Amino acid sequence: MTGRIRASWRSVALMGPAAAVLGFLFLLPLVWFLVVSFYRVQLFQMIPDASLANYTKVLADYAGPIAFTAAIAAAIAAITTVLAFVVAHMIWARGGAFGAFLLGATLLTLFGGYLVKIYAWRTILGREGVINSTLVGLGLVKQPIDALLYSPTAVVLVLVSYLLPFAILPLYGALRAVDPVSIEAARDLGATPAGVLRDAVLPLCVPALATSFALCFLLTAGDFVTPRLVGGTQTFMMGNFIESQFGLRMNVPLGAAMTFTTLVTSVCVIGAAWAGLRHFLRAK
Amino acid sequence: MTNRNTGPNTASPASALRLSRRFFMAGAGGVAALAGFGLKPALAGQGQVAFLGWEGYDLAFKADDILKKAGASFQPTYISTIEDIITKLRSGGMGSIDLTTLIYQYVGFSASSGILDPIDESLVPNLAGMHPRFKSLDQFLRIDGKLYGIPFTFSSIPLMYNPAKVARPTSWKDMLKPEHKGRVVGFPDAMSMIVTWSKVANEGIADPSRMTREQLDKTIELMVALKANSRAVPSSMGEISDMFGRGEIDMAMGWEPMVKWVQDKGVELAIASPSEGTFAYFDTVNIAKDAPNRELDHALINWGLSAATQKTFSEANVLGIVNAEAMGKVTDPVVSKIFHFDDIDAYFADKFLPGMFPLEPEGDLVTWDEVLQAFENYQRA
Repeated sequence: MTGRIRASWRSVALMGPAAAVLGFLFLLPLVWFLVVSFYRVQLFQMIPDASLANYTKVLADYAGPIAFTAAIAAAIAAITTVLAFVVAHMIWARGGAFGAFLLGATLLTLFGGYLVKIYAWRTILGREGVINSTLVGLGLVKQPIDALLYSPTAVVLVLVSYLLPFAILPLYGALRAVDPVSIEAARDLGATPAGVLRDAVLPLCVPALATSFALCFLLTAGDFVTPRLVGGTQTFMMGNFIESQFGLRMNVPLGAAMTFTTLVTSVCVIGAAWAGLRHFLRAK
Repeated sequence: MTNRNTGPNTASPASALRLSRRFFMAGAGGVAALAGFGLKPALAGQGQVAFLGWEGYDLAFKADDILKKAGASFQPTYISTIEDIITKLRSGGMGSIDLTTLIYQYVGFSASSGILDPIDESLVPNLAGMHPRFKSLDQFLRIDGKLYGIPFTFSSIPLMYNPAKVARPTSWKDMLKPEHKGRVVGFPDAMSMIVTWSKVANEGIADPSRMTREQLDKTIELMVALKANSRAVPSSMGEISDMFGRGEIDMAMGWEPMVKWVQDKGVELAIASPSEGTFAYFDTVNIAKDAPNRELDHALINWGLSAATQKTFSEANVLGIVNAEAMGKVTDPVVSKIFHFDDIDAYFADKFLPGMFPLEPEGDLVTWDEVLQAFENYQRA
């Protein structure tokens, strides 16, 4: 009995630091933000209130940017997840002895840093960038293509390249857990390679696919640097407007309401994606 | 299938991470020490002069000799928008921050809302060296007779262009011409955009900060037209100069130092004088409420206003200065020419200095918050 109590105490003690970090650095600020989102601002100072005015304003004025953010984040998350699955599958199925090396090489790109990647893409996509120089040099176009940079396409390219390693990790982990015996069994039963993938591999990867999608979606939905640095005149995302409330407009309550509305939208999209994956990739 | 890990504490997963009481207490002690010291705001307290302002502005107030004599260090924190100063002071910065550099328009309401302390003019004798033209700024900087900001630099948001690519523009409206589509950009800052384009949209408006709703709507309409003609919405002034340097744009709302920044990239920029005028502004130095080193702060401000410091500051940052004697000492011909240090009135001849928008409803005038809301509408458009 004493041993069990000691073990319980030890478990609590071991979980304590993690729980404290999560509680104090994430949950507590989140609850505080939720409370503040019902406040109002007067002369740049927060006045405690219990009004829904901020949420009404968000729905009236920012429905468009929220929808745009959700759409572009979903597109980026979907593209990244599919690409990540292809890469992870290649490493798992064809990597052989080089599997660990290929995975390491993929993760190595994380060391480049976020801003460095953005500026690298600006160099690649700009008027005098690698792509435009090549196209003009080969005589394929007369003038550099301006639309490569400062456009939604540029935002998608930059974020997909940035998020890819994050998406590969959970998928590779899931693929490693797939029992080779089940694949052999599927083959023995006459399944084509596509059938094996569809019926024996993908159903086992649904949680990892959903995790990769959620990770990419959330990071994109909260981003405000990429759209600002490589986006065009029509690529402002919610992150930009939220940042503006906390900085320029000094309206923390409205910024908090915008944050929660975006968060709820994100949860809905991720929930829908999860349900969709479970439905379409269920084991037959 | 052999378990190569044969250490004494690895018999089961549960025992892999043992937590002795001594280890736990040591860890807890470490966390407490971190919380007590490591996480303490680095800028707090006497002996550390905390400066909160634009990068480069610290050069004007980092007087090594004075700091050494006082046994103090200088801790600069750079801002990305002016509003960062107000946000940081409001969110626990008061009592640990010493010097800030607010734009002249923000000094009045910042002082009224209690985030600044008045400056003791008797401790700043170099105020006497200020060019007499700038005394009129007092209307923005004094509340109940007390001074809350001292201007130390000025510049503007001029219409800049690449003369090798386009003819000299004569109006801001030239940026809207179809032949310049995709070859122009506006400015990232709300105040600069609004006051500049209000002059274009509302001919004859005396002070853009006293605008009606209708005038603001016309201003935003024009800004949206500019956006539609633009290459991008720039994220910073550095990006505008990069765009000039890469040959992506020919015309932009710029900032005087860009002339030098772009020169380094082999592009010669010129500054136009649009008929509607150019927004000029002063940045001021302020003492934050409950600044921990008040006396030392005054000494640093006084040093920053000296002729020698002002000359160095102007040449290093390519910015205007307020000390009359220093203006004559600036030897960099590019800087002298841009700011007309030999005839300061000539510099301000085509400039306008708007006041601050009302913070609370005032007749049919739009408030600052309505202006910022309108700026967001422009961003969303």
